Amino acid sequence: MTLLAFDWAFIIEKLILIVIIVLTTLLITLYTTFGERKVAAILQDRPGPNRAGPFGLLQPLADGLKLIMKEEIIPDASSRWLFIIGPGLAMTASLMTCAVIPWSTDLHLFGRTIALQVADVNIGILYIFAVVSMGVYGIMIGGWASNNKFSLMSALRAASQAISYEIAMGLALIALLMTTGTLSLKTIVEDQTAGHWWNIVYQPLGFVIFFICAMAECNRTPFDLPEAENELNFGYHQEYSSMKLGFYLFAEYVNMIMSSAIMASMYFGGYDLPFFDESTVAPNIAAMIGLGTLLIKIVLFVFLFMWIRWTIPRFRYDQLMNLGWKKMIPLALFNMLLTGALILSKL
Amino acid sequence: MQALTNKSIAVNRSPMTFWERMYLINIIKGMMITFSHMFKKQPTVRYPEQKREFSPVFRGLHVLNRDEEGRENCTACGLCAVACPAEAITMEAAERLEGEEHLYKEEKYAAKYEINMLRCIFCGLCEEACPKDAIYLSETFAPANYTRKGFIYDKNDLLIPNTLTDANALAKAKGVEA
Amino acid sequence: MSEQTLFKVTVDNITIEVPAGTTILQAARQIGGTVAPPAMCYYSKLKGSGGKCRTCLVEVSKGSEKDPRPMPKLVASCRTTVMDGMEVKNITSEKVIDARAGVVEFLLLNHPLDCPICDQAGECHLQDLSFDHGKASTRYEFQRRTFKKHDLGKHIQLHMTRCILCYRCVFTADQLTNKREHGILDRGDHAEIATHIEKSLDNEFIGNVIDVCPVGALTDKTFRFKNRVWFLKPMDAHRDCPTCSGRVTLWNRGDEVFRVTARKDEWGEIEDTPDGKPGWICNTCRFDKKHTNDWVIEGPRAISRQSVIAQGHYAGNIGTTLPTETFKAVNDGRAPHLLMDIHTESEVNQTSIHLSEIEGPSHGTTFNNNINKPNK
Repeated sequence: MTLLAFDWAFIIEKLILIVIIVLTTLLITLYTTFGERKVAAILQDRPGPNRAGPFGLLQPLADGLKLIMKEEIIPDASSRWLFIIGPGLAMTASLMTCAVIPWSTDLHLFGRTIALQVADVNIGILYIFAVVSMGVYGIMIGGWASNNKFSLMSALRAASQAISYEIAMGLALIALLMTTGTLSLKTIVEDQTAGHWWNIVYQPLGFVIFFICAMAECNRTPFDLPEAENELNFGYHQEYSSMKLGFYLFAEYVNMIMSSAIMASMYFGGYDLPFFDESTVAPNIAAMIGLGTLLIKIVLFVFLFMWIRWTIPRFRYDQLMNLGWKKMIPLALFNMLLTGALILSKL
Repeated sequence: MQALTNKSIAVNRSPMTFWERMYLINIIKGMMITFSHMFKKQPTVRYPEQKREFSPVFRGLHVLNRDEEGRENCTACGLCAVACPAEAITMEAAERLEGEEHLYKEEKYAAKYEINMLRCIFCGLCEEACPKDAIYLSETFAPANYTRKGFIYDKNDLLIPNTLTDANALAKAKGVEA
Repeated sequence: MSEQTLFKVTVDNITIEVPAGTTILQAARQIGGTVAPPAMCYYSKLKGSGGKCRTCLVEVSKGSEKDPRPMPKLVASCRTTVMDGMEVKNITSEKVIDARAGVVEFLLLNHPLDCPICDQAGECHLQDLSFDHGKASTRYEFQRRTFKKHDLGKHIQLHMTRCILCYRCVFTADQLTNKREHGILDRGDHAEIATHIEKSLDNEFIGNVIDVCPVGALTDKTFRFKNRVWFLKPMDAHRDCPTCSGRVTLWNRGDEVFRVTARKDEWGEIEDTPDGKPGWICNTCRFDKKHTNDWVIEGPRAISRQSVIAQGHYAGNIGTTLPTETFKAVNDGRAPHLLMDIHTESEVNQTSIHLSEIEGPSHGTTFNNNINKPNK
């Protein structure tokens, strides 16, 4: 089925996969917002949203509907186009990450082998870094275009915070790459499945650093300085309303899910279910089990994010910078050197 | 200075140890505390389904009382209105005519009686001021309303149903409120 | 006057010099404040009044300079004239306090205590008296006396059950009008104010019986049940009246004149006019001039702040002159957008019903226009 030198079936397959993944991600995100409220409630001895639908399960729909129905306000003094582009950019950047995440082993359908990964690029990790850095543009543009000093200040905070923590994050990843020897996420996951220990065993310090940096990248408490209400009123999305605001809020949750997926893939074996031999079941079933495993790991990470958010108070900005530059980066460097030394000694 | 009680705890200002400065351990301790709260009993009262017993001194929506013959107790003496710190109560009195003795207890009665629930602070001073046992604060909330007009309660809204003319009236009224 | 002998009299350790022939009550009133004994039947502007109610009982601990023996019994201060060097104990005497409590209990034996209905409530001397000197309960175990109702015409409402038989109204009718038409009939427990064979009282100055009545036995029918006195604004006003001084107090709600009374001084008696005569007012002023434009308003009347009537009244012109609204001026001429105008929603004080224009008390029919409003 090749026409004009294109493998059309391949393109259709990938398109369907993209649509499914994006939609599923959005749906999960929708329920992550619900989960956030529910987790917060349970940790605080209260029932949480329980009015919309059974157990409040329709709450995210009600929230979404509310956001859509809200009046769309574009401030007079804003840069109109940038103001509109901002939330879209933030959302796009967050969603683009899911292109390289290996969701599970291959499916075998209609006589084709369908990889449950949109693109198995051999520089997957670099791609993620590139896209995550793009996310800062969404916040920066939104904050700047609002023409509001609070928005601008919080956008600046977000940008500097993201840049500071990306360094430590990258250094922690270098150590990981030194052990795995590849940049492809698929390969990293497969390495962990094939009888090896999960990477967390080789890189415990690296994981801690990566996790903390991921939290900072997602602007989650205790690093949600860009949204520090008491200092900045509301944060970089102060002037936003309706679905544009919804996009910013959503992007945060998409980011959270994506970083959970990446951490699960890089340190916790991705779709690998431990002590279970996938070759004993049919490949399609194995793929489904793998997908479920990965989703469970993601949910656990997301819960961890929420758990931390509802336990720890927000840092001060100087504490945040101190932690980033004076603790995380030296620690990551030390981790890198240690890993290198260990690898050398093994050789 | 000598402490008055032994309850005060002196703040420990000694420099933090290495482990304290690590912060991670304390974070984990804190997270354990929040985690333990997942299994605690929720004190929440799920309101429309569960209702908490009102205390006997609860001051809710006002009712205008009738006597045992079903006549209105209120004589529009204005003591509730003058006692009202929010100036929520207004009334207009009228003289009882011949043939109205079964409706009103005294020769003077309240032809109009209004409580502005937007102003009312439910302090119960009207209840205390009333010399005729005519106004009481019931154990009901003032229900929400879509318009401000809906909060101007007139005599029809406040009078308790006359159980002598309609035996089910009280039950009906309660059923509506429940 | 200067040749008049001045007597030195001491009331509650306060000494004052008064002309001979002054009563103890008058002397005490000249000192003022709580030293003055209360009086229910004595009325300084009415000749012959006093000596009936016994609320003004005082103890004379020293008869005079020449005869310093104390008087053996408590004396009615309104009827006892002072002697030189007399020493009188009013509130400083246990005996007086005790006796007065007994008098109040007696006065209240037959009083129906229907203050919630009574139009006098808030300016009633018996209320003040029982509040200051009375006990919280009565020892009386029998039915209170009741009377056949008498109609005293379209201006004056008689509630005989409330009467304490002070005779003030009888003196008023004798001294102010050409012909007295009412009086006390029967004796003892059956004594009652009445006209002989249903007559209406409509002499020119007969309305003043309402003002002199210390209780709510005689009240203004044109004001009957219209409003409580403490919700009204008392305003000093005058008009050029051919028959009387025309100096009155208007009792207003908004711009509506609900009631007209004579001006009363701190003892609850009619104020004198500037030329020294008592300021009795005629029936026309009292009952027929219920429009603000009949009167020249002088300003708000000062009310003792101990009185319930003073509630809601503020210093200066607050409440009598409208504040200047600046909203429209600062809002480009636009009126404020009200979420609710209470005057359109409230059925009390409706602009369509003018209570001041209704002759007698209002009835259910006065307000019946929209009784069937749906419940909330």
